[in-house]
Amino acid sequence: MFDHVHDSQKAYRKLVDSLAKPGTINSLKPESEKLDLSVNCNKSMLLLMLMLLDTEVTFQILSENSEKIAKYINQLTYAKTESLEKADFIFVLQDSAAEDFFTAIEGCKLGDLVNPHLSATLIIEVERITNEKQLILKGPGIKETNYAALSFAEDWVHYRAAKNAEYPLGVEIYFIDKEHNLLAIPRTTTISVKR
Amino acid sequence: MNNYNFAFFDEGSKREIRRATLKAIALPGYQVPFASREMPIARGWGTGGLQLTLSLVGKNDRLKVIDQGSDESVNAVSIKKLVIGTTGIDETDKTGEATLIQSRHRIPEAELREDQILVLQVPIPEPLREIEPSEYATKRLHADKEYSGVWLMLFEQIMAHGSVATGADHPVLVHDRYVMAPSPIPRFDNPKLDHSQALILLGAGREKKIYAVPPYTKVVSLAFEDYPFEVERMAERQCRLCGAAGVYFDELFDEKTNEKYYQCNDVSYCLQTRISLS
Repeated sequence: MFDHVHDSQKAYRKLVDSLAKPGTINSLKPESEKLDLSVNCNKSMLLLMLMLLDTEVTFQILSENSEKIAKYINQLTYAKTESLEKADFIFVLQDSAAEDFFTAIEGCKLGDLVNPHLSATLIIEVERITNEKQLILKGPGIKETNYAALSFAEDWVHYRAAKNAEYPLGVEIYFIDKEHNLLAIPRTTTISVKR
Repeated sequence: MNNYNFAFFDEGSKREIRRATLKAIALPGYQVPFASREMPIARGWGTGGLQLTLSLVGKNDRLKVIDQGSDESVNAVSIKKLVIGTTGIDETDKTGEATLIQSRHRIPEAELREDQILVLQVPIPEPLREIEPSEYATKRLHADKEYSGVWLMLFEQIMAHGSVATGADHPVLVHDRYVMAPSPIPRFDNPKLDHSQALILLGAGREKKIYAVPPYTKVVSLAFEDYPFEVERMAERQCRLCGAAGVYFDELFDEKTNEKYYQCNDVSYCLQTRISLS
């Protein structure tokens, strides 16, 4: 059975590890597979919802079943849904339309120079995350260069670069794949696509 | 102590601290405000660091707490007791064995690893506070990257004393963007922040701020071209107990013999050196 104290803590430390060292892939499988919730959604996405959401923050879910899942998550965490422009956390599930992510990253909140931490965090479900050399990652947390590969529309890199153009303004993006691998990209990471 | 929650906090409090920590890691050197809970120790005694530690700690962690380099001073022992008492995890004095290290005023001598997290207690997180008392104003100075005040402070010290006179907490520039207070570590420890292998989290309980230096992040101590940054001079000194050189020393004075002698400030490092020698 999922332990809200200890399994959340273990998953949180993995998220900290992935975010502090962008390109580091951690598996949330041991924790998330214990989740037994009657909702049709990637369990690691649910795990992150339980870890991050409560009454103090707002969220949005982009999915074919967004209403159903959002209602369920609201009942579990008491967090309220909010429009894309105002939500603190935006969960983009794999069954959402491809352009949904682009709408989300263009429209989500960015904070301002006085409060750059008030930007949205996007959590994206993708098919597969690996360390293959598709994306070249550089920046804080990375010794020299890290690599990552995502089965996700490559355009996301450009949309992200446009959104995060004016550091310290920017959004964080966490990726979860079907095998419950986690990759976290803070705004400080510069990404180039390997040709 | 099993009437308490694991790691003392309710899950809601942990969640709030965790969300602030995640944004802090993404914004190296930027002070993220957080709610700062009431703790069973007084504000100013390491509540910021303690709250970070409690939000991070899990059953498999091994905790080390130091205060001014010592594992056994009152502050370190009280904090350790609270965390151990509410989690039941193991504690250690050995830097290399710890997964979580909470510290006040020092970064351990032994090089930290990628799998370790260093939590530093911070009394005054705002490096511009001495120049500008208003939080409203300092937030805007950071927003504009307007740091002439802090440069002027260092310049005035040089004019008055002939050298930079920051005893501890010498300001640093993180990731070429934010000027940050590294907490009252001696200047000797400032270079350890630069491209540290371990994640460094800083917590100020009274001032309600969390900030971070991720691993492998550029951290530069502020200095002028003609007055370069200098650490406290420790050369030509040796620990009287373990013989170590090139570490940070405490200076001790024997009133009877009028003799000055030096001892490693990092007690754990000193003990380890002595064990490996014997």
